[in-house]
Amino acid sequence: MLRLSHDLLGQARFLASQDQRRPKEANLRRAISAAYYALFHYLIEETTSLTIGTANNLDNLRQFAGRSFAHRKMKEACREFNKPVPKQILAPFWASLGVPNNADVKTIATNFIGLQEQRHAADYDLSQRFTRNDAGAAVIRAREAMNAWTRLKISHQELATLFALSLMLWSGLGDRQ
Amino acid sequence: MFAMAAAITDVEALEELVQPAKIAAQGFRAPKQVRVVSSNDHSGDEAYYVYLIFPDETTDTALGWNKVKTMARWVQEEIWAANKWQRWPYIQIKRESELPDNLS
Repeated sequence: MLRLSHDLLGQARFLASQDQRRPKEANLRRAISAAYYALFHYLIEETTSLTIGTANNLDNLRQFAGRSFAHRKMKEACREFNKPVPKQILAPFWASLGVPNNADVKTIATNFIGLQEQRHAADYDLSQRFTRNDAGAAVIRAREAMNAWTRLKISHQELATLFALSLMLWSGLGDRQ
Repeated sequence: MFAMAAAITDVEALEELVQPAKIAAQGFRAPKQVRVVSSNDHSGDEAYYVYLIFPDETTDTALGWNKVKTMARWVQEEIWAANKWQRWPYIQIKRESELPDNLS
């Protein structure tokens, strides 16, 4: 399956490696932005596949569900998954699914939050300077989060589903206790 | 019963927790300086920006994400736990000359 996230990550990697001697600011900024969007779309693709199914005839439903994801709400859900004690609505799952000690869920959540902030600065904050290292790190962190998701999905399916549902539904769940 | 420790929100107190010597004591390559700035992130949430500042002569390889990530995560977790999981710490790996004007 050709996936937007895959293409975006490739684009980010390409832009981050251009202009060997003197990297162009525009390429570095676009690389960071593309790395964030690669992870953003990857999580949507994976979440909707996990919760709706992967059959080709379900594509419209996955796209429909994909429209429910909101950047800020996903960030808020990710913050919650980095807490030792979460909101009450998530608390029943914390110990039983081993959330606080799961390195993969922390990697996904931490990298998503960091990349989102960096993407915003790359796209809008002209007072910030970006280096090739910044762009390269963004690509690695997006890839790292995707790899962590792959491991999580295989080794802790129920936790992966809880995290996926939280990313998708946080607009409704986030304001609850 | 132990009293629950209060959240640390003062930037100087937070800086103190992750000074270069403390980072080095964890076995990491320590930055030259650490600065913590309290601000709001792009979505308006209160946040900390934690600058791990390296000398200008530090190579790209030494600052590559794979080389610094364990140290960056340790610093992030220290600040996140110290402020009782209220303000997200955004870690910034920078050389001295790459700092924003207000920090140079």
